[in-house]
Amino acid sequence: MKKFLHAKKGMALVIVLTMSLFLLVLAGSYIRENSYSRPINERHFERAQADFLGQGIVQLAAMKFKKRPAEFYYAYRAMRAGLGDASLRAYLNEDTTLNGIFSDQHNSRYQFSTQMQLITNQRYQTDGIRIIVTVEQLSEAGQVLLTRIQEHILEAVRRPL
Amino acid sequence: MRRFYRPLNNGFSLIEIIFSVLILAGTMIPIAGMMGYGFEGTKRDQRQITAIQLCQSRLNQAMSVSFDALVNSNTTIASGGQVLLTLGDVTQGNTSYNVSLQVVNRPVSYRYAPVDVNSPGYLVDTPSTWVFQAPILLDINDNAAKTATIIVSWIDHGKQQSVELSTIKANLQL
Repeated sequence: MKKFLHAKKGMALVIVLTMSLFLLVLAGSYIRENSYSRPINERHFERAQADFLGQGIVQLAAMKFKKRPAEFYYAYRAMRAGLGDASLRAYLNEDTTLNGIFSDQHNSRYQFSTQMQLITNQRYQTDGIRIIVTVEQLSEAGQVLLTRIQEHILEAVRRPL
Repeated sequence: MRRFYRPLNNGFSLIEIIFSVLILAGTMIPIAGMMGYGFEGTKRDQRQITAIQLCQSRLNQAMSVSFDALVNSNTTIASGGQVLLTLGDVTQGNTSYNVSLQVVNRPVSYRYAPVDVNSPGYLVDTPSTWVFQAPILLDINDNAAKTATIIVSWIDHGKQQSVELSTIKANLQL
């Protein structure tokens, strides 16, 4: 038994095999760490695309208000007066320019929707039109992977009729 | 006397050394290859991040260009001696990137429900007197909006790579 414990033949192979196993584990963990960076790059790109899309839709919403401000005021005030939101939905939710789907170069889909709110200041006869665009990146199965929100406030000065 | 007798079998034999070196070489060479691959992957990701950042900065510049000046271009857009948008070849690090702008006309169609101001009993300050008509569409096909896309391309190990970001510019002067 003592002779067996003191035996040293073949120890070199055991040592080298242990070291090799340790090095392989190190290399494997290094490769796994490296594989995380590619998904991070894609998230960075998708977030940037969602932000730019949101900014663009804000511009389209601002142009709609500029072309048809009265219709927005009527719809919003009717909704606030408790007369239903059908006209406001027609102005915002059912507008396919302000709500829809966009695809980027990788065929990733982004769903965008627009809301507008009226912030009234009676004392100074000014209104703030708050435009909120929500952009959601969708997976192939339709799950939301990323949500970005762009907000902009337009100032409108009221003139007496 | 027997107690002090020790068999002379300490140390490593030549065969053990040879096999150990062979096993170590067989392990280290692929690991060195994988480390090199990982390093190359890091450099590739760095180039992609640089391209995305370049794309972002150029698209931000494009958003501030006037609606009429936003046109397809591979060269810098300038007006009145002032550079509005820098395009063309850009070198960052050891990589040369080509930045170009693609612009496509985007028709818009706005939906709304008009109010019949000629209806009897209509009062401008009384919502209950308002009569909303059926929703209609306001179509503007030309000169309403443009989809601007910045394309950054570069060569990576003989293959062309590219990154594109798009946004929409509305003609707020319309």
